Amino acid sequence: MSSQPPRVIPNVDACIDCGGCNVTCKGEWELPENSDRIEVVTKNEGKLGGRLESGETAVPMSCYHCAQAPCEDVCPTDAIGRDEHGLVQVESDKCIGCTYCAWACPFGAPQFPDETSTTGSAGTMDKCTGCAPRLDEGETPACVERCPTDALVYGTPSEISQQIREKQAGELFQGELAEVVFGEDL
Amino acid sequence: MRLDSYIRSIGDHCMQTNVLDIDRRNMMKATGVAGLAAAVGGRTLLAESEAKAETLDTETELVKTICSHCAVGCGLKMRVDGDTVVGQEAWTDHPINEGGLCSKGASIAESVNSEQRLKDPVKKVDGEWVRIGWDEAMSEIAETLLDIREEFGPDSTMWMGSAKVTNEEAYLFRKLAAFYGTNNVDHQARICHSTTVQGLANTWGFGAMTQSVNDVQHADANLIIGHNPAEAHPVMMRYIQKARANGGTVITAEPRFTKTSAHADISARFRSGTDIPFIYGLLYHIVFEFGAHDEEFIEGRVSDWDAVEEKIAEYDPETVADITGVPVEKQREVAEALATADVSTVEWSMGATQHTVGTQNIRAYALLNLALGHTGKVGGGANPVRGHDNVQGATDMCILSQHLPGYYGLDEGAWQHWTNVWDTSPWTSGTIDYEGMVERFESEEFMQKPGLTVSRWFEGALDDDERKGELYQPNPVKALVVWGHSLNSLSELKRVKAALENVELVVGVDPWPGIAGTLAERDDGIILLPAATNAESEGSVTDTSRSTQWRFQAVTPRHNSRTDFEMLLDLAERLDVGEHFDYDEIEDVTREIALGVRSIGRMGQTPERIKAHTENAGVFETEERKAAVTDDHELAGEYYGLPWPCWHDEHPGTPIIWRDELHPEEGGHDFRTNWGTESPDGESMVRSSFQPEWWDEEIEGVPQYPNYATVLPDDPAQPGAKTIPVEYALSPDHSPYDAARELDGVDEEAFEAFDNPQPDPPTGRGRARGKAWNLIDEVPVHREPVETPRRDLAEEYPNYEKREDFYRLDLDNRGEQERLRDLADEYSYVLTSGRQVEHNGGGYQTRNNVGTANRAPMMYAEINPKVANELGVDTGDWLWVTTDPGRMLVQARVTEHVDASQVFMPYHWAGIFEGETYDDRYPEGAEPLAIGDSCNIGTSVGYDAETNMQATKATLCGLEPATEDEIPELPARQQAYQRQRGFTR
Repeated sequence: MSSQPPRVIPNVDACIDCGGCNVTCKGEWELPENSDRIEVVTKNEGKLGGRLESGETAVPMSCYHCAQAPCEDVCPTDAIGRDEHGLVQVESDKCIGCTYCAWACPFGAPQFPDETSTTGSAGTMDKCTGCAPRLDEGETPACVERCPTDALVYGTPSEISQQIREKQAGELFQGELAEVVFGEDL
Repeated sequence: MRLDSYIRSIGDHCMQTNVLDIDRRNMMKATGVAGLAAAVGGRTLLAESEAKAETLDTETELVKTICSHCAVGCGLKMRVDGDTVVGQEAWTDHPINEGGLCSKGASIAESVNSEQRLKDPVKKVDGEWVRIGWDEAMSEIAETLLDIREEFGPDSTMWMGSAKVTNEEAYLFRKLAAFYGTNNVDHQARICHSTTVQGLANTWGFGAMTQSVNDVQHADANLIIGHNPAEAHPVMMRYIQKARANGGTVITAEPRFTKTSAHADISARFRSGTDIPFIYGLLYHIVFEFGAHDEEFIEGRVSDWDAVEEKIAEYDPETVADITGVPVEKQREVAEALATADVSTVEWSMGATQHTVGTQNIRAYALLNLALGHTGKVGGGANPVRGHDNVQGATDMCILSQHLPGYYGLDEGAWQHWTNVWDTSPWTSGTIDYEGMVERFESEEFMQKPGLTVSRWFEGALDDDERKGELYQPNPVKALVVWGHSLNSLSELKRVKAALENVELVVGVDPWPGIAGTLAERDDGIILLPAATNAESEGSVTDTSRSTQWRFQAVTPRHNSRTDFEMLLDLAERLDVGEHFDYDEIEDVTREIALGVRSIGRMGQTPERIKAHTENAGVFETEERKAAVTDDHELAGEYYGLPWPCWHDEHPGTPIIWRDELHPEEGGHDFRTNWGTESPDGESMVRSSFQPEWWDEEIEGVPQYPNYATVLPDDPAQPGAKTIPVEYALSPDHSPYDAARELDGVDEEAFEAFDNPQPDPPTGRGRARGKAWNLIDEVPVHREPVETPRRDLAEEYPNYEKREDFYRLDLDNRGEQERLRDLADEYSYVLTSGRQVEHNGGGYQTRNNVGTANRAPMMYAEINPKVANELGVDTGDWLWVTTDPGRMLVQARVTEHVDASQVFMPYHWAGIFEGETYDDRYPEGAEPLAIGDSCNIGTSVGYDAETNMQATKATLCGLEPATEDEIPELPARQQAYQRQRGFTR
């Protein structure tokens, strides 16, 4: 039985870039105003067409708590590890702000709210925690709960059947990316 | 750009080549896993966690409130510790949003605790803001208003009131203006859906959304015209997406490719201001090419269809293509989608309404829906989607200069009704009658004369030589009360500013200081009162779906602010009319509304019932918003929020108006017999007989039941009790003739022919009008906007000729159009305005909120990449947008949402005026987080000739990059936000 944690997967068919997730997350965790643990990136703005093909697509992006997290691999101080849920977390006292994790992450999840310039003064890394404290209370992440169009889907990979993964997460994350996020054996 | 956002965009690029085809329908079907089956609404693939206890611990509680921004009516819960808001929680079983909130709704808790709020009353003295006490502030305001009335008459005060207060507060505001003695009282609805009300009410009797936002999930085709729900009503997209998931077709029709277009099947783009030919192009195909109009429906329930068909024939597809820019094939594609749909809706917002022909635009949409026979069905109808949390309510309360509450108008009958209500009301001590009311006004004539509007009040305050035409009242406007209304949403903002500088007193009431206080360059004569936010007040609010919810007070007013209710009662007392406002509790106002607003059927919306619905929201399902309970449940059969018409205190509400498929006691309805039983041409204005499934015999067309809107119940303390006309209408055993004979003072002969006992809505069973004979254009015709790039078409389809004494002013659209005939030589782009998802209204709340201001820190002009290249600008660079009325200095936003002939600007911005910052004119500590120039400095000077709606959607503009020295200094935080978002470096 896989021990992979539940994580938030974007459903780009439904995302309308309303910003609810971004503002909810900041409010829920009282984040510094420039820490965008989840934010929407829009591509092909202005074009009609299939999602992630030629058409305008809004992609909510946060940390996917990857099975083979590159950030965990590259962190020189082992500040990045897993909590009891299997979620990828950073211990800020160990973080030296080298930003290797940001370069390694295929998705841009690591945030540097205390950054004063792009080189040399990044401050400690901050990112989506998978709402671990809410998980402890038996709740879903705040962004998932409050997305108005169900554009954020939440669950552990082992609870998703083969077919669903192929249609959804498997398609968003293809090939190498899928391996990184979900691991080799799933 | 920040490192991480740079990297994020690279990361996103990695995914760019992947195809994504999430099919949630199949996802749900495919799984047999119990955990997945528990994914209600697809929210979670884990089993739903246990419902959280409402009380988290002994001190923290969750208080239900309704979002203060748009009119979708989303519920949320404030997390309250003692008397402090410490956060917000999702209201997951709310039948409209099921816990979901856009960025605006997600920011409410922060707004309550905003440091930028106005904390005390302030007055401008010798150019400085001075804090004053409430007593001093209110007594000075009252004394000034009384002095002005004494010297110049009651019409010298303009009351500008609010879509953002509760129904009770809105009603009191209208009542206060009446007792003050003027009809110069108006609110946001004027500039948002006044043309909708005029257009729809003149077609079929009421001017509101025909169904709920939830119901659009059942539409087989949805034409979204002049509306961008992805940004204006994000939670509504939930249901629009459901319609697509159910196989429905979504079409956007408007000048741009918007965020909504990205979620549509078809995007039809037409030149701003050419809605009517576009619709006629569709109708041409539907009627003449496909023969797909519903002849039976038209024959049975519509009048004067021949006149409409004649007009359609004038707009053949080639002509339409020339005027609108929509190719014939595209017209056909859209027409076919609608014609082949089982049932379809057409929905709109400001893109449709804010035109010189706004009323006729809406008439055209209604005629389209009627032609297809899709009106009054599940998934079928016409939906004006309202903009503010209580604009539907405030509109129903008629903070409108041509109506008393409930759309009664201003004639003698209207005033007889309302003086009767105010006199009879058991909740106030004062007495009043018709003659007593006349004495309060300038004269009986002025008591019945529509007043100045929010859109053009300033003409009344300018000097004669600055005014366009005459002013048809004794004296100019000397005082302006701006209560919960932004001013940067008004066009001709330069003249608004001049008017603000000309009056003797400006009173601004808002939680954050609005530009009523800061736009004018004057040293005194302004008093600002700090209002409590919506989470700090209590009362009912009506959403765009006509449903009413109760807002429970989460915390007491912060700082030294006061609720609107408290301020209104205080002001009434100081204006010597306190005895008409001495309610014991706010629920008594709700009861008085139910007593008096009978025309649209608000009798059944008693405070007890409204609260019961809000408290038990979780029992209502999301497909019909009906209570999903057993028959013995208290709420069995009821629809969430008792959508009006709700005829009595046991009526379930009417979720879909005009729908004859249900018994009227169970939410059924029919077209209103609003214009008598015969048209001026002698055509019958009652519907043909029909046999519905719910009745064993034929139901005949009938007039409105006599006096249904004016007879009060025997015991006025029971406003929801059935009166004779209401009882007889709904009863299967009584006919209109029975009611006429039973009541006093009714001309029985007029009802003799209608003697069939049958259940009816009190508004009768009439016909929707093909021809609206009381409007300037009986059937919609194209008229070019006042500012148009097509000189030739302006000659062939000229705008309205001058109207005199129209809401007390002259309106000369044609004159302006002629003056601006060659404007396109100088200004070659078509400029339109609209919303952005993070901001609401004038932006006073959202530009003072970190969550929303951080995400949207830039006032911008959307320009196409080709245009950007020509100008040599990129996103974030400053440029001038120049128009005939004025110019705005904004930052570029390069996007393909607009084509190379178009420019778009959002209207939420203030703090910069024609390039000059004025955030130093704000009271200290209340400067907005994000400022920008106001697009309504430049929007066109046309107005709808039926309602005075401002024509902000079709303007011509030029573009010019700004020079270094012209760039204004934005607040430091705003600049940081712009760098964070990647707009600047």
